[in-house]
Amino acid sequence: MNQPLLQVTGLSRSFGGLAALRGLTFSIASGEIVGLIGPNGAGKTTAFNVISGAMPPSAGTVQFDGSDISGAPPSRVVVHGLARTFQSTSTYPGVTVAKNIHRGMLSRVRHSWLRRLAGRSEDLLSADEVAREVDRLLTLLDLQAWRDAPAGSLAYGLQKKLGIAVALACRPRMLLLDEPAAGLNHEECNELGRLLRRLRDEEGLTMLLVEHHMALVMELCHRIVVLVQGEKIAEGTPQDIRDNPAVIEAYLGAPDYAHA
Amino acid sequence: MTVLSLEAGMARPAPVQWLLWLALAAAAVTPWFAGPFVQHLAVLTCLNVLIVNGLALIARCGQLSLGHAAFVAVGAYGSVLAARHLGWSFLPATLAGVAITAVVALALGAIILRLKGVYFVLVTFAFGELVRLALLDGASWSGGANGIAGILPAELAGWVFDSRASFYGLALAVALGSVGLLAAVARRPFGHAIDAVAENPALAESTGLSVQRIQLCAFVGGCALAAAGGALQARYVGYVSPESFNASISISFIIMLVIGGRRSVWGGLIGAMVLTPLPELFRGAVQTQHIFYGAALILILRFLPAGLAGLPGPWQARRRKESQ
Repeated sequence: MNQPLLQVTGLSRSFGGLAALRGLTFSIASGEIVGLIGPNGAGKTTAFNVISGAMPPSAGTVQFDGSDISGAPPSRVVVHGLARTFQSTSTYPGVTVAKNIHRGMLSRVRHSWLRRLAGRSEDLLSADEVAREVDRLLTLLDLQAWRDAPAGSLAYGLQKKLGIAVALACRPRMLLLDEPAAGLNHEECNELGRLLRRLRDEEGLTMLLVEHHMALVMELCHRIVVLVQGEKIAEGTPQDIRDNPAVIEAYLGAPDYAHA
Repeated sequence: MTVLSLEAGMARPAPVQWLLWLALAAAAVTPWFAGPFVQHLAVLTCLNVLIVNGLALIARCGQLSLGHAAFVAVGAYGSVLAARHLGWSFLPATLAGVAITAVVALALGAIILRLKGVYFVLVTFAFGELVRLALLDGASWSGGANGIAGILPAELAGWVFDSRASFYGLALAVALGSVGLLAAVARRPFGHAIDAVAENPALAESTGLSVQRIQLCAFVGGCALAAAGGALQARYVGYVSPESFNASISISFIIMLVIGGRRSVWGGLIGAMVLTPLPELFRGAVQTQHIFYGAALILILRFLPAGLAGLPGPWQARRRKESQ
Protein backbone atom coordinates (compact mmCIF):
# COMPACT_ATOMS: atom_id res chain seq x y z
CA MET A 1 0.00 0.00 0.00
CA ASN A 2 1.39 3.42 -0.91
CA GLN A 3 1.05 6.54 1.19
CA PRO A 4 -2.42 6.77 2.74
CA LEU A 5 -4.75 9.58 1.63
CA LEU A 6 -5.99 10.22 5.15
CA GLN A 7 -3.81 9.52 8.16
CA VAL A 8 -5.28 10.08 11.62
CA THR A 9 -2.73 9.78 14.43
CA GLY A 10 -3.37 9.75 18.17
CA LEU A 11 -6.49 11.89 17.79
CA SER A 12 -8.08 12.94 21.10
CA ARG A 13 -10.82 15.33 22.01
CA SER A 14 -12.25 16.03 25.42
CA PHE A 15 -15.13 18.20 26.54
CA GLY A 16 -14.31 19.41 30.04
CA GLY A 17 -13.55 16.23 31.96
CA LEU A 18 -15.14 13.93 29.41
CA ALA A 19 -12.75 12.30 26.96
CA ALA A 20 -14.98 11.73 23.94
CA LEU A 21 -12.12 10.49 21.80
CA ARG A 22 -8.90 8.91 23.03
CA GLY A 23 -5.87 8.33 20.83
CA LEU A 24 -7.67 7.30 17.66
CA THR A 25 -5.25 6.13 14.95
CA PHE A 26 -6.20 4.81 11.53
CA SER A 27 -5.50 5.46 7.89
CA ILE A 28 -7.41 5.33 4.63
CA ALA A 29 -5.81 4.57 1.29
CA SER A 30 -6.90 6.24 -1.91
CA GLY A 31 -9.99 4.54 -3.38
CA GLU A 32 -11.00 2.81 -0.16
CA ILE A 33 -14.40 2.93 1.50
CA VAL A 34 -13.99 2.75 5.26
CA GLY A 35 -16.76 2.55 7.82
CA LEU A 36 -16.59 4.04 11.31
CA ILE A 37 -19.03 2.26 13.61
CA GLY A 38 -19.76 1.95 17.29
CA PRO A 39 -22.63 2.13 19.76
CA ASN A 40 -24.26 5.46 20.61
CA GLY A 41 -21.91 7.81 22.42
CA ALA A 42 -18.81 6.00 21.16
CA GLY A 43 -17.32 9.20 19.76
CA LYS A 44 -18.06 8.63 16.07
CA THR A 45 -19.52 12.07 15.51
CA THR A 46 -16.72 13.69 17.51
CA ALA A 47 -14.14 11.92 15.36
CA PHE A 48 -16.02 13.04 12.29
CA ASN A 49 -16.19 16.66 13.43
CA VAL A 50 -12.52 16.80 14.36
CA ILE A 51 -11.42 15.31 11.04
CA SER A 52 -13.62 17.67 9.00
CA GLY A 53 -12.43 20.68 11.00
CA ALA A 54 -15.74 21.55 12.67
CA MET A 55 -13.87 21.39 16.00
CA PRO A 56 -10.13 21.35 16.80
CA PRO A 57 -8.56 18.22 18.35
CA SER A 58 -7.29 18.26 21.95
CA ALA A 59 -4.32 16.21 20.81
CA GLY A 60 -3.15 14.29 17.76
CA THR A 61 -2.93 15.08 14.07
CA VAL A 62 -4.97 14.68 10.91
CA GLN A 63 -2.96 14.44 7.71
CA PHE A 64 -4.59 14.56 4.32
CA ASP A 65 -2.49 13.69 1.30
CA GLY A 66 0.68 14.46 3.18
CA SER A 67 -0.30 17.87 4.56
CA ASP A 68 -1.29 18.50 8.16
CA ILE A 69 -4.87 19.75 8.36
CA SER A 70 -5.48 19.31 12.11
CA GLY A 71 -7.32 22.29 13.57
CA ALA A 72 -7.96 23.96 10.19
CA PRO A 73 -11.52 25.33 9.76
CA PRO A 74 -13.84 23.36 7.44
CA SER A 75 -13.56 25.99 4.70
CA ARG A 76 -9.78 25.31 4.56
CA VAL A 77 -10.10 21.53 4.86
CA VAL A 78 -12.34 21.48 1.78
CA VAL A 79 -9.69 23.25 -0.28
CA HIS A 80 -7.39 20.30 0.41
CA GLY A 81 -9.99 17.99 -1.15
CA LEU A 82 -11.86 16.65 1.87
CA ALA A 83 -15.61 17.37 1.86
CA ARG A 84 -18.35 16.26 4.23
CA THR A 85 -22.09 15.72 4.35
CA PHE A 86 -24.36 16.23 7.33
CA GLN A 87 -26.27 13.75 9.45
CA SER A 88 -29.66 15.36 8.98
CA THR A 89 -30.42 17.08 5.70
CA SER A 90 -28.43 20.21 5.06
CA THR A 91 -29.35 22.21 1.98
CA TYR A 92 -30.22 25.77 1.06
CA PRO A 93 -33.98 25.18 1.30
CA GLY A 94 -35.09 28.46 -0.27
CA VAL A 95 -33.37 28.09 -3.64
CA THR A 96 -33.58 25.55 -6.45
CA VAL A 97 -31.71 22.26 -6.56
CA ALA A 98 -29.51 23.58 -9.39
CA LYS A 99 -28.70 26.70 -7.37
CA ASN A 100 -27.79 24.55 -4.37
CA ILE A 101 -25.17 22.76 -6.43
CA HIS A 102 -24.02 26.05 -7.91
CA ARG A 103 -23.43 27.40 -4.39
CA GLY A 104 -21.45 24.29 -3.57
CA MET A 105 -19.04 25.24 -6.33
CA LEU A 106 -18.59 28.84 -5.20
CA SER A 107 -15.34 28.26 -3.37
CA ARG A 108 -13.81 27.04 -6.63
CA VAL A 109 -15.17 30.00 -8.57
CA ARG A 110 -14.16 32.52 -5.96
CA HIS A 111 -10.76 31.04 -5.51
CA SER A 112 -10.00 31.41 -9.15
CA TRP A 113 -11.30 34.97 -9.06
CA LEU A 114 -8.72 35.77 -6.39
CA ARG A 115 -6.10 34.00 -8.44
CA ARG A 116 -7.07 36.00 -11.47
CA LEU A 117 -6.27 39.13 -9.46
CA ALA A 118 -2.90 37.59 -8.71
CA GLY A 119 -2.45 36.89 -12.41
CA ARG A 120 -2.91 33.12 -12.23
CA SER A 121 -6.10 32.38 -14.09
CA GLU A 122 -5.58 28.75 -15.08
CA ASP A 123 -8.12 27.43 -12.55
CA LEU A 124 -10.88 29.82 -13.59
CA LEU A 125 -14.26 28.17 -13.86
CA SER A 126 -16.21 29.92 -16.61
CA ALA A 127 -19.98 30.35 -16.46
CA ASP A 128 -20.26 27.60 -19.09
CA GLU A 129 -18.16 25.20 -17.08
CA VAL A 130 -20.20 25.93 -13.96
CA ALA A 131 -23.43 25.21 -15.85
CA ARG A 132 -21.98 22.02 -17.31
CA GLU A 133 -20.77 20.85 -13.90
CA VAL A 134 -24.22 21.53 -12.38
CA ASP A 135 -25.80 19.42 -15.11
CA ARG A 136 -23.22 16.66 -14.70
CA LEU A 137 -23.87 16.39 -10.96
CA LEU A 138 -27.64 16.50 -11.47
CA THR A 139 -27.31 13.56 -13.86
CA LEU A 140 -24.84 11.69 -11.70
CA LEU A 141 -27.21 11.81 -8.72
CA ASP A 142 -30.33 11.41 -10.84
CA LEU A 143 -31.81 14.71 -9.69
CA GLN A 144 -32.57 16.29 -13.10
CA ALA A 145 -36.33 16.06 -12.59
CA TRP A 146 -36.06 18.36 -9.58
CA ARG A 147 -33.61 20.79 -11.14
CA ASP A 148 -35.78 23.89 -10.69
CA ALA A 149 -37.68 22.83 -7.57
CA PRO A 150 -36.88 24.57 -4.28
CA ALA A 151 -34.65 22.26 -2.26
CA GLY A 152 -36.91 22.64 0.77
CA SER A 153 -39.83 21.09 -1.11
CA LEU A 154 -37.96 17.83 -1.82
CA ALA A 155 -38.64 14.57 0.01
CA TYR A 156 -36.20 13.68 2.79
CA GLY A 157 -34.30 11.07 0.79
CA LEU A 158 -33.87 13.44 -2.14
CA GLN A 159 -32.62 16.18 0.16
CA LYS A 160 -29.98 13.81 1.51
CA LYS A 161 -28.95 13.04 -2.04
CA LEU A 162 -28.77 16.74 -2.79
CA GLY A 163 -26.51 17.10 0.26
CA ILE A 164 -24.11 14.64 -1.38
CA ALA A 165 -24.35 16.56 -4.66
CA VAL A 166 -23.47 19.84 -2.92
CA ALA A 167 -20.48 18.20 -1.24
CA LEU A 168 -19.37 16.74 -4.59
CA ALA A 169 -19.62 20.20 -6.14
CA CYS A 170 -16.48 21.10 -4.15
CA ARG A 171 -14.81 18.39 -6.25
CA PRO A 172 -13.33 16.52 -3.29
CA ARG A 173 -11.01 13.54 -3.48
CA MET A 174 -12.45 12.18 -0.28
CA LEU A 175 -15.96 12.35 1.09
CA LEU A 176 -16.88 12.12 4.77
CA LEU A 177 -20.45 10.85 5.07
CA ASP A 178 -22.23 11.34 8.40
CA GLU A 179 -24.92 8.64 8.64
CA PRO A 180 -25.97 8.83 4.98
CA ALA A 181 -28.59 6.11 5.43
CA ALA A 182 -30.28 7.56 8.52
CA GLY A 183 -33.97 8.06 7.87
CA LEU A 184 -33.95 6.34 4.47
CA ASN A 185 -36.32 3.50 3.66
CA HIS A 186 -35.15 0.10 2.47
CA GLU A 187 -35.27 0.91 -1.24
CA GLU A 188 -33.57 4.29 -0.80
CA CYS A 189 -30.90 2.57 1.25
CA ASN A 190 -30.12 0.09 -1.52
CA GLU A 191 -29.98 2.93 -3.99
CA LEU A 192 -27.57 4.81 -1.71
CA GLY A 193 -25.28 1.77 -1.63
CA ARG A 194 -25.25 1.59 -5.43
CA LEU A 195 -24.67 5.33 -5.67
CA LEU A 196 -21.71 5.33 -3.27
CA ARG A 197 -20.09 2.40 -5.06
CA ARG A 198 -20.55 4.15 -8.37
CA LEU A 199 -19.01 7.32 -6.97
CA ARG A 200 -15.96 5.32 -5.98
CA ASP A 201 -15.67 3.53 -9.31
CA GLU A 202 -16.49 6.41 -11.65
CA GLU A 203 -15.28 9.43 -9.69
CA GLY A 204 -12.40 7.73 -7.92
CA LEU A 205 -13.72 8.95 -4.59
CA THR A 206 -12.35 7.74 -1.28
CA MET A 207 -14.96 7.58 1.48
CA LEU A 208 -15.25 7.45 5.23
CA LEU A 209 -18.73 6.82 6.49
CA VAL A 210 -20.16 6.92 9.97
CA GLU A 211 -23.19 4.66 9.86
CA HIS A 212 -25.60 2.69 12.02
CA HIS A 213 -27.08 0.71 9.18
CA MET A 214 -25.00 -2.48 9.57
CA ALA A 215 -26.15 -4.20 6.39
CA LEU A 216 -25.03 -1.22 4.34
CA VAL A 217 -21.68 -0.92 6.12
CA MET A 218 -20.92 -4.65 5.84
CA GLU A 219 -21.79 -4.71 2.17
CA LEU A 220 -20.09 -1.48 1.12
CA CYS A 221 -16.94 -1.02 3.19
CA HIS A 222 -13.55 -2.49 2.51
CA ARG A 223 -12.52 -1.95 6.08
CA ILE A 224 -14.28 -1.06 9.29
CA VAL A 225 -13.03 0.81 12.36
CA VAL A 226 -14.95 0.15 15.58
CA LEU A 227 -15.07 2.79 18.30
CA VAL A 228 -16.25 2.14 21.84
CA GLN A 229 -16.15 4.84 24.51
CA GLY A 230 -13.77 6.97 22.49
CA GLU A 231 -11.27 4.22 21.77
CA LYS A 232 -10.67 2.02 18.78
CA ILE A 233 -11.32 -1.57 19.81
CA ALA A 234 -11.08 -3.24 16.42
CA GLU A 235 -10.21 -2.66 12.80
CA GLY A 236 -10.46 -5.01 9.86
CA THR A 237 -12.51 -6.35 7.00
CA PRO A 238 -16.28 -6.72 7.46
CA GLN A 239 -15.75 -10.48 8.00
CA ASP A 240 -13.15 -9.87 10.75
CA ILE A 241 -15.41 -7.38 12.47
CA ARG A 242 -18.45 -9.65 12.30
CA ASP A 243 -16.53 -12.39 14.09
CA ASN A 244 -14.63 -10.20 16.54
CA PRO A 245 -15.72 -11.09 20.12
CA ALA A 246 -14.85 -7.64 21.46
CA VAL A 247 -17.16 -6.02 18.91
CA ILE A 248 -19.96 -8.46 19.65
CA GLU A 249 -19.57 -7.74 23.33
CA ALA A 250 -19.65 -3.99 22.78
CA TYR A 251 -22.86 -4.21 20.77
CA LEU A 252 -24.71 -7.02 22.55
CA GLY A 253 -23.09 -7.04 25.99
CA ALA A 254 -20.92 -9.85 27.40
CA PRO A 255 -22.53 -13.29 27.32
CA ASP A 256 -23.38 -14.63 30.78
CA TYR A 257 -20.94 -17.50 30.58
CA ALA A 258 -18.07 -14.99 30.41
CA HIS A 259 -18.61 -14.33 34.10
CA ALA A 260 -19.02 -17.91 35.05
CA MET B 1 -28.55 29.67 -21.41
CA THR B 2 -28.25 27.33 -18.49
CA VAL B 3 -26.79 30.14 -16.44
CA LEU B 4 -29.80 32.23 -17.33
CA SER B 5 -32.16 29.58 -16.12
CA LEU B 6 -30.41 29.69 -12.74
CA GLU B 7 -31.60 33.27 -12.50
CA ALA B 8 -35.00 32.75 -14.09
CA GLY B 9 -36.84 33.32 -10.82
CA MET B 10 -35.50 36.87 -10.62
CA ALA B 11 -36.82 38.20 -13.92
CA ARG B 12 -39.87 40.44 -13.79
CA PRO B 13 -42.49 40.49 -16.51
CA ALA B 14 -41.66 43.24 -18.99
CA PRO B 15 -44.65 45.61 -18.64
CA VAL B 16 -44.35 45.82 -14.86
CA GLN B 17 -40.65 46.41 -15.17
CA TRP B 18 -41.14 49.30 -17.59
CA LEU B 19 -43.80 50.85 -15.39
CA LEU B 20 -41.49 50.65 -12.37
CA TRP B 21 -38.57 52.19 -14.27
CA LEU B 22 -40.83 54.99 -15.48
CA ALA B 23 -42.14 55.69 -11.96
CA LEU B 24 -38.60 55.70 -10.61
CA ALA B 25 -37.39 58.10 -13.29
CA ALA B 26 -40.35 60.41 -12.63
CA ALA B 27 -39.72 60.34 -8.89
CA ALA B 28 -36.04 61.10 -9.47
CA VAL B 29 -36.71 64.11 -11.73
CA THR B 30 -39.67 65.66 -9.88
CA PRO B 31 -37.69 67.38 -7.06
CA TRP B 32 -35.97 69.71 -9.53
CA PHE B 33 -39.36 71.13 -10.47
CA ALA B 34 -40.73 71.24 -6.94
CA GLY B 35 -40.33 73.57 -3.99
CA PRO B 36 -37.45 73.64 -1.49
CA PHE B 37 -39.28 71.43 1.01
CA VAL B 38 -39.67 68.61 -1.51
CA GLN B 39 -36.04 69.06 -2.55
CA HIS B 40 -34.97 68.82 1.08
CA LEU B 41 -36.94 65.59 1.51
CA ALA B 42 -35.48 64.24 -1.72
CA VAL B 43 -31.93 64.85 -0.52
CA LEU B 44 -32.63 63.17 2.83
CA THR B 45 -34.22 60.26 0.97
CA CYS B 46 -31.15 59.79 -1.22
CA LEU B 47 -28.81 59.84 1.78
CA ASN B 48 -31.03 57.31 3.55
CA VAL B 49 -30.99 55.08 0.45
CA LEU B 50 -27.20 55.05 0.61
CA ILE B 51 -27.10 54.32 4.34
CA VAL B 52 -29.87 51.68 4.29
CA ASN B 53 -28.19 49.95 1.35
CA GLY B 54 -25.16 49.59 3.60
CA LEU B 55 -27.37 48.01 6.23
CA ALA B 56 -28.89 45.76 3.54
CA LEU B 57 -25.45 44.42 2.64
CA ILE B 58 -24.84 43.48 6.28
CA ALA B 59 -28.33 42.02 6.70
CA ARG B 60 -27.98 40.01 3.50
CA CYS B 61 -25.33 37.80 5.09
CA GLY B 62 -27.56 37.16 8.08
CA GLN B 63 -26.55 39.76 10.66
CA LEU B 64 -28.63 42.69 11.91
CA SER B 65 -26.72 45.78 13.04
CA LEU B 66 -28.44 47.96 15.63
CA GLY B 67 -25.53 50.39 15.62
CA HIS B 68 -25.64 51.48 12.01
CA ALA B 69 -26.06 55.17 12.93
CA ALA B 70 -22.75 54.99 14.79
CA PHE B 71 -20.94 54.18 11.55
CA VAL B 72 -22.74 57.06 9.88
CA ALA B 73 -21.43 59.20 12.75
CA VAL B 74 -17.84 57.95 12.43
CA GLY B 75 -17.94 58.74 8.70
CA ALA B 76 -19.45 62.19 9.28
CA TYR B 77 -17.12 63.21 12.13
CA GLY B 78 -14.11 61.60 10.46
CA SER B 79 -14.59 63.54 7.25
CA VAL B 80 -15.42 66.80 9.02
CA LEU B 81 -12.38 66.56 11.32
CA ALA B 82 -10.12 65.64 8.39
CA ALA B 83 -11.35 68.73 6.53
CA ARG B 84 -11.07 70.95 9.59
CA HIS B 85 -7.70 69.93 11.02
CA LEU B 86 -5.86 68.73 7.93
CA GLY B 87 -7.39 71.25 5.55
CA TRP B 88 -8.43 68.49 3.14
CA SER B 89 -10.98 69.24 0.45
CA PHE B 90 -14.32 67.44 0.10
CA LEU B 91 -13.28 64.30 -1.76
CA PRO B 92 -10.16 63.30 0.22
CA ALA B 93 -11.88 64.22 3.49
CA THR B 94 -14.88 62.03 2.60
CA LEU B 95 -12.61 59.16 1.61
CA ALA B 96 -10.74 59.61 4.91
CA GLY B 97 -14.05 59.37 6.81
CA VAL B 98 -14.97 56.22 4.88
CA ALA B 99 -11.52 54.70 5.42
CA ILE B 100 -11.57 55.37 9.17
CA THR B 101 -15.02 53.78 9.40
CA ALA B 102 -13.86 50.76 7.40
CA VAL B 103 -10.92 50.25 9.77
CA VAL B 104 -13.20 50.55 12.81
CA ALA B 105 -15.69 48.11 11.23
CA LEU B 106 -12.88 45.69 10.42
CA ALA B 107 -11.54 45.70 13.97
CA LEU B 108 -15.00 45.49 15.53
CA GLY B 109 -16.35 42.95 13.04
CA ALA B 110 -13.40 40.59 13.47
CA ILE B 111 -14.42 40.25 17.11
CA ILE B 112 -18.21 40.52 17.17
CA LEU B 113 -19.14 38.66 13.96
CA ARG B 114 -18.53 35.44 15.90
CA LEU B 115 -21.77 36.28 17.69
CA LYS B 116 -25.07 35.23 16.16
CA GLY B 117 -28.60 36.55 16.19
CA VAL B 118 -29.71 38.60 19.16
CA TYR B 119 -26.20 38.70 20.68
CA PHE B 120 -24.81 40.46 17.63
CA VAL B 121 -27.76 42.88 17.71
CA LEU B 122 -27.09 43.70 21.37
CA VAL B 123 -23.36 44.28 20.91
CA THR B 124 -23.88 46.56 17.90
CA PHE B 125 -26.46 48.48 19.96
CA ALA B 126 -23.89 48.89 22.74
CA PHE B 127 -21.28 50.01 20.23
CA GLY B 128 -23.70 52.61 18.89
CA GLU B 129 -24.22 54.03 22.36
CA LEU B 130 -20.47 53.94 22.99
CA VAL B 131 -19.79 56.06 19.91
CA ARG B 132 -22.53 58.53 20.81
CA LEU B 133 -21.27 58.91 24.39
CA ALA B 134 -17.68 59.27 23.22
CA LEU B 135 -18.75 62.08 20.88
CA LEU B 136 -20.72 63.74 23.70
CA ASP B 137 -17.79 63.41 26.09
CA GLY B 138 -14.95 64.44 23.78
CA ALA B 139 -15.86 68.12 23.79
CA SER B 140 -12.29 69.17 22.98
CA TRP B 141 -12.31 67.54 19.55
CA SER B 142 -15.94 66.70 18.76
CA GLY B 143 -17.58 69.80 20.16
CA GLY B 144 -19.52 67.65 22.65
CA ALA B 145 -23.27 68.15 22.72
CA ASN B 146 -22.90 71.36 20.70
CA GLY B 147 -21.53 69.40 17.77
CA ILE B 148 -19.58 71.02 14.96
CA ALA B 149 -21.17 73.80 12.94
CA GLY B 150 -20.12 75.76 9.89
CA ILE B 151 -19.14 72.79 7.74
CA LEU B 152 -18.33 73.92 4.20
CA PRO B 153 -20.55 72.62 1.38
CA ALA B 154 -19.41 69.77 -0.83
CA GLU B 155 -17.16 70.72 -3.73
CA LEU B 156 -16.04 68.51 -6.60
CA ALA B 157 -13.75 69.59 -9.46
CA GLY B 158 -14.75 73.24 -9.19
CA TRP B 159 -18.47 72.51 -8.73
CA VAL B 160 -19.88 73.71 -5.42
CA PHE B 161 -22.98 71.85 -4.24
CA ASP B 162 -24.30 74.65 -2.05
CA SER B 163 -27.92 74.71 -3.19
CA ARG B 164 -30.57 72.10 -2.52
CA ALA B 165 -31.07 71.43 -6.22
CA SER B 166 -27.37 70.92 -6.95
CA PHE B 167 -26.77 68.80 -3.85
CA TYR B 168 -29.78 66.68 -4.79
CA GLY B 169 -28.01 65.87 -8.06
CA LEU B 170 -24.95 64.66 -6.16
CA ALA B 171 -26.99 62.70 -3.59
CA LEU B 172 -29.11 61.10 -6.31
CA ALA B 173 -26.03 59.96 -8.24
CA VAL B 174 -24.48 58.44 -5.13
CA ALA B 175 -27.76 56.77 -4.06
CA LEU B 176 -28.33 55.20 -7.47
CA GLY B 177 -24.67 54.23 -7.54
CA SER B 178 -25.12 52.34 -4.27
CA VAL B 179 -28.15 50.47 -5.69
CA GLY B 180 -26.07 49.60 -8.75
CA LEU B 181 -23.25 48.41 -6.51
CA LEU B 182 -25.64 46.19 -4.56
CA ALA B 183 -27.06 44.75 -7.78
CA ALA B 184 -23.56 44.09 -9.13
CA VAL B 185 -22.48 42.36 -5.92
CA ALA B 186 -25.64 40.23 -5.91
CA ARG B 187 -24.81 38.90 -9.38
CA ARG B 188 -21.19 38.04 -8.60
CA PRO B 189 -19.92 34.88 -6.92
CA PHE B 190 -19.34 36.97 -3.81
CA GLY B 191 -23.04 37.86 -3.76
CA HIS B 192 -24.03 34.20 -4.13
CA ALA B 193 -21.61 33.38 -1.32
CA ILE B 194 -23.25 36.00 0.92
CA ASP B 195 -26.67 34.45 0.24
CA ALA B 196 -25.29 30.96 0.92
CA VAL B 197 -23.77 32.09 4.23
CA ALA B 198 -27.05 33.72 5.25
CA GLU B 199 -29.18 30.69 4.45
CA ASN B 200 -27.03 27.90 5.91
CA PRO B 201 -23.71 28.95 7.47
CA ALA B 202 -22.67 25.41 8.45
CA LEU B 203 -23.16 24.11 4.91
CA ALA B 204 -21.46 27.17 3.40
CA GLU B 205 -18.46 26.68 5.67
CA SER B 206 -18.23 23.00 4.82
CA THR B 207 -18.24 23.75 1.09
CA GLY B 208 -15.23 26.01 1.36
CA LEU B 209 -16.80 29.43 2.00
CA SER B 210 -15.21 31.08 5.01
CA VAL B 211 -18.28 32.37 6.85
CA GLN B 212 -16.27 34.75 8.97
CA ARG B 213 -14.37 36.29 6.08
CA ILE B 214 -17.48 36.75 3.94
CA GLN B 215 -19.47 38.31 6.80
CA LEU B 216 -16.53 40.57 7.60
CA CYS B 217 -16.29 41.77 3.99
CA ALA B 218 -20.02 42.51 3.90
CA PHE B 219 -19.89 44.24 7.30
CA VAL B 220 -16.97 46.48 6.32
CA GLY B 221 -18.60 47.28 2.95
CA GLY B 222 -21.95 48.07 4.57
CA CYS B 223 -20.37 50.32 7.20
CA ALA B 224 -18.35 52.11 4.51
CA LEU B 225 -21.59 52.94 2.64
CA ALA B 226 -23.02 54.28 5.91
CA ALA B 227 -19.91 56.42 6.38
CA ALA B 228 -20.24 57.88 2.89
CA GLY B 229 -23.84 58.76 3.74
CA GLY B 230 -22.68 60.42 6.97
CA ALA B 231 -19.97 62.46 5.25
CA LEU B 232 -22.47 63.71 2.64
CA GLN B 233 -25.09 64.46 5.28
CA ALA B 234 -22.60 66.61 7.23
CA ARG B 235 -21.86 68.64 4.09
CA TYR B 236 -25.53 69.05 3.27
CA VAL B 237 -26.75 70.08 6.72
CA GLY B 238 -23.53 71.96 7.53
CA TYR B 239 -23.68 70.68 11.08
CA VAL B 240 -23.06 67.46 13.01
CA SER B 241 -24.05 66.57 16.57
CA PRO B 242 -24.08 63.28 18.48
CA GLU B 243 -27.85 63.28 18.82
CA SER B 244 -28.28 62.92 15.04
CA PHE B 245 -26.80 59.44 15.39
CA ASN B 246 -28.60 57.87 18.35
CA ALA B 247 -30.18 54.45 18.64
CA SER B 248 -33.58 55.54 17.36
CA ILE B 249 -31.91 56.61 14.10
CA SER B 250 -30.38 53.12 13.86
CA ILE B 251 -33.82 51.64 14.44
CA SER B 252 -35.35 53.82 11.76
CA PHE B 253 -32.76 52.46 9.28
CA ILE B 254 -33.80 48.93 10.20
CA ILE B 255 -37.48 49.82 9.78
CA MET B 256 -36.74 51.24 6.32
CA LEU B 257 -34.90 48.07 5.37
CA VAL B 258 -37.57 45.69 6.65
CA ILE B 259 -40.47 47.61 5.12
CA GLY B 260 -38.58 48.04 1.86
CA GLY B 261 -37.48 44.41 1.72
CA ARG B 262 -34.49 42.71 3.30
CA ARG B 263 -33.77 40.28 0.50
CA SER B 264 -34.11 42.59 -2.47
CA VAL B 265 -31.56 44.86 -4.06
CA TRP B 266 -34.35 47.45 -4.22
CA GLY B 267 -35.34 47.15 -0.55
CA GLY B 268 -33.21 50.05 0.69
CA LEU B 269 -34.38 52.33 -2.10
CA ILE B 270 -38.07 51.57 -1.60
CA GLY B 271 -37.89 51.70 2.20
CA ALA B 272 -36.11 55.05 2.23
CA MET B 273 -38.47 56.51 -0.41
CA VAL B 274 -41.53 55.51 1.59
CA LEU B 275 -40.35 56.24 5.12
CA THR B 276 -38.21 59.37 4.78
CA PRO B 277 -41.08 61.69 3.79
CA LEU B 278 -43.58 60.03 6.13
CA PRO B 279 -42.61 61.72 9.44
CA GLU B 280 -42.61 65.08 7.68
CA LEU B 281 -46.15 64.49 6.44
CA PHE B 282 -47.27 63.45 9.92
CA ARG B 283 -45.69 66.43 11.67
CA GLY B 284 -48.94 66.94 13.56
CA ALA B 285 -48.74 63.44 15.02
CA VAL B 286 -45.20 63.33 16.39
CA GLN B 287 -46.32 61.40 19.46
CA THR B 288 -48.36 58.81 17.65
CA GLN B 289 -46.26 58.23 14.51
CA HIS B 290 -44.18 55.56 16.20
CA ILE B 291 -47.34 53.62 16.94
CA PHE B 292 -48.05 53.65 13.21
CA TYR B 293 -44.50 52.50 12.49
CA GLY B 294 -44.85 49.65 14.95
CA ALA B 295 -48.17 48.59 13.46
CA ALA B 296 -46.81 48.85 9.92
CA LEU B 297 -43.77 46.76 10.87
CA ILE B 298 -45.90 44.02 12.41
CA LEU B 299 -48.24 43.96 9.42
CA ILE B 300 -45.34 43.82 6.95
CA LEU B 301 -43.59 41.03 8.84
CA ARG B 302 -46.85 39.08 9.05
CA PHE B 303 -48.21 39.51 5.57
CA LEU B 304 -45.28 40.67 3.43
CA PRO B 305 -42.06 39.22 4.89
CA ALA B 306 -40.17 40.16 1.73
CA GLY B 307 -41.17 43.81 2.24
CA LEU B 308 -42.64 46.16 -0.36
CA ALA B 309 -40.01 44.99 -2.84
CA GLY B 310 -41.64 41.55 -2.64
CA LEU B 311 -45.05 42.90 -3.70
CA PRO B 312 -44.78 41.82 -7.36
CA GLY B 313 -43.89 38.31 -6.15
CA PRO B 314 -47.36 36.80 -5.64
CA TRP B 315 -48.62 38.57 -8.74
CA GLN B 316 -45.71 37.16 -10.73
CA ALA B 317 -46.28 33.65 -9.45
CA ARG B 318 -49.89 33.77 -10.56
CA ARG B 319 -48.85 35.03 -13.97
CA ARG B 320 -46.30 32.25 -14.34
CA LYS B 321 -48.89 29.67 -13.42
CA GLU B 322 -51.32 31.07 -15.99
CA SER B 323 -48.70 31.07 -18.72
CA GLN B 324 -47.90 27.40 -18.15
